[in-house]
Amino acid sequence: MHNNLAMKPCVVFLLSLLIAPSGKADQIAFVRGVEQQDQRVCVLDLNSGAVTEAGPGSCDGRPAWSPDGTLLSFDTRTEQGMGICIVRPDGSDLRHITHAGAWNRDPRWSADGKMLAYTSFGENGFETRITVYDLASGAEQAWPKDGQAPLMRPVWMPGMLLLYALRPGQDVQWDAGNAQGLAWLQDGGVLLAIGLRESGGKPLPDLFVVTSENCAPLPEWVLPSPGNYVEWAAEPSPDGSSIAWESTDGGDREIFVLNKKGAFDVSNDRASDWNPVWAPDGEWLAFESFRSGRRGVYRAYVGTARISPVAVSPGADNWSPAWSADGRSIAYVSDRTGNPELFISEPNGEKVRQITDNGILNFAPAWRPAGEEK
Amino acid sequence: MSRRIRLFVAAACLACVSAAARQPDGALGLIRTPNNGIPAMVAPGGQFDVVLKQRAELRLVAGQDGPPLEIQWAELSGGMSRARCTVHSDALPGTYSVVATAPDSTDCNDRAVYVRNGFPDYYVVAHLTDTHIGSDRHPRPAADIFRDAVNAANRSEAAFVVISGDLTENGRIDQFLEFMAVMDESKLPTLVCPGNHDRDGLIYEQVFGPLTYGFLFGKDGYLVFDTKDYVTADDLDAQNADLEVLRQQIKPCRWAIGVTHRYEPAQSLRSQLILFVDNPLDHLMFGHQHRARENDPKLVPWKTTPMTMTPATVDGFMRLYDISDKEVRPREPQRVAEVAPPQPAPEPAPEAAQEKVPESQPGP
Repeated sequence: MHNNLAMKPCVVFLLSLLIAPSGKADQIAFVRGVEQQDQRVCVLDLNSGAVTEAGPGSCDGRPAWSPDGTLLSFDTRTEQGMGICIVRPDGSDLRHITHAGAWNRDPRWSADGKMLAYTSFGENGFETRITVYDLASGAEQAWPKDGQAPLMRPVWMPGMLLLYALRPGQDVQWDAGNAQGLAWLQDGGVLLAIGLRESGGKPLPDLFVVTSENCAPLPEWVLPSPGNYVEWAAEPSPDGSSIAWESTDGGDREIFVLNKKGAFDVSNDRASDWNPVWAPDGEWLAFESFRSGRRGVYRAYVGTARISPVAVSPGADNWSPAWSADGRSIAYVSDRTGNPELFISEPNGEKVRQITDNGILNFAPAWRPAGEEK
Repeated sequence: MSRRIRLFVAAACLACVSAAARQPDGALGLIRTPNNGIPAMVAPGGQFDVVLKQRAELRLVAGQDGPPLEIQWAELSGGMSRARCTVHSDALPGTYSVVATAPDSTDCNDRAVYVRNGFPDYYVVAHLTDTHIGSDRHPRPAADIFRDAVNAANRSEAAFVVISGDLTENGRIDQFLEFMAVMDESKLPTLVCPGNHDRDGLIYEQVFGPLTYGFLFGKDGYLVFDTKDYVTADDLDAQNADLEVLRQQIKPCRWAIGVTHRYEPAQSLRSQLILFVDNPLDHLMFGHQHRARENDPKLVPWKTTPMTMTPATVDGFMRLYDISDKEVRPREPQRVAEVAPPQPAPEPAPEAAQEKVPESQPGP
């Protein structure tokens, strides 16, 4: 630690008092550890500076808040492999989900907080499947039921307006092209996921829609240049009216957005752009880009594709952006001090504050949603 | 005296012997890279980077002062400094130590810079893996088996050696010291990466520096990356930026070749996108499973990058690769005792000569 960002914990605490966002969403879950083996999900209270250890501390993975902010889910190491954990932010009521398979990763909450979807890995080779866990019944189920593989990286659609527009006969503002669409879609839980689709003899990652009964790739006429590019990291906007995802359409990885007007590249640059994260208002996307040489955090105004930097450091990386519930702050990881530490700033990159300074690894910030019960 | 005590005494002796080049505990000092596990290979007039904890006077030494360096400085995150060094165009080929002299300390990394008389289009790489120094898997000490492999590489036509992880059995400093003592018997540049037996990487980092790095050999780019614990390696995005930046840097190369300890289909999907989907590596060299396997399509779900697993050196194996304009070709794994000195190349048929014969052959 050599520069003025290397603050003592007491200074961090005092600063956090000054910069703590208003409202209740003043806690950030994250992962910290000396090394991979002891990485633990923790919760940092921005008002008090206190850090609560919530996870078991065994290769804990990226934490995700339940929509009401009362629970955290994450993957962690088990005797058999990796399993999903649920815990309260104070570390109480830790539950390990009992899995049918040994390897389960990256849980995502449904909008009503009643289900978790995650990727389950098969015993042999690349047999990734999607599993959905019902918190009320404690039951696991493969989605779709026949367990089609490979499917991975599921995320719940919070609403059906956009997907219903892709069904035949809908009043979309582009040329729908064919009548197949997603005619089989019905109300109920729907996931976006990544599947593999054969193209030129090789499987290419593509965007799929998955329900408990069925799955299919997004219709080709939805995509700007279907069949030749790698799609990844689908993320629906908070109201489900748009989908952001990564695509190699254009030669390098870009952030695309699909809404009822069509699909657009909102991050166009010769360097790779990835990891889109929607702001709560659905108007802005934070993402990571290598356009400055190293990895930086940027934001795009989706309506105009205007890009502005959030966190860019010469010779250092900034990554894992996470919006606060009110959209007025962004948390991220930066190794500008020589060690991965958590920072927060306003979305325009101003008023930067370092909120961890423990000299160990700090990753994967996730801001607690507003309206949580405390 | 028990075997463990003998090893400890040997390690202590080795620590004394190597103290001139490293800290007494074997850790890197002022200079992080290049070092004997991540050396620079450069032609006269070429450039290499020195990363060190503070700016210092730098020189190359080979018994006496080596060729002068022209240096451009840059600051890195974490208070580190980078010296981009240009080797004088009259520099003599050979193996050099890098010496850094700062106001309050001096440091020297031996076997850190190899000045070569150019880079041939055709060359051979020796792949060692899973040396497991300190293990008692066989009656014969693992260090002795490793020494046989180093000697086999020395007498082969290889231009350099990659050692892809599980260098030690338990990741202990005495085991790393023993590993380095044998590795330093190599007459060739030796490039290492960590494996799961090298444990959490903390001691490895102290001894060799970065867990992920890239290097160039002539027209080819190599990306050496960490999968010591594939379950979590890179899962929280710590390594992905390095993979992306390094992969883009070697994109214009003739061949982009990956070196790692292990490949598992369930490893970080982002890292797989970078290495096997967006810009697929042309070949991946790895070990870990202590057996040979080549180009099994089940290995790579993306069906893109040929992968070659080399059986463990601690079991007496190594593998040579032929790298040419035409291909990256793994030879059959060999028992180290059976590695023969390079044979004179047979006279090729005229057609084959146009297609296959390289412009020049590397020296031993």
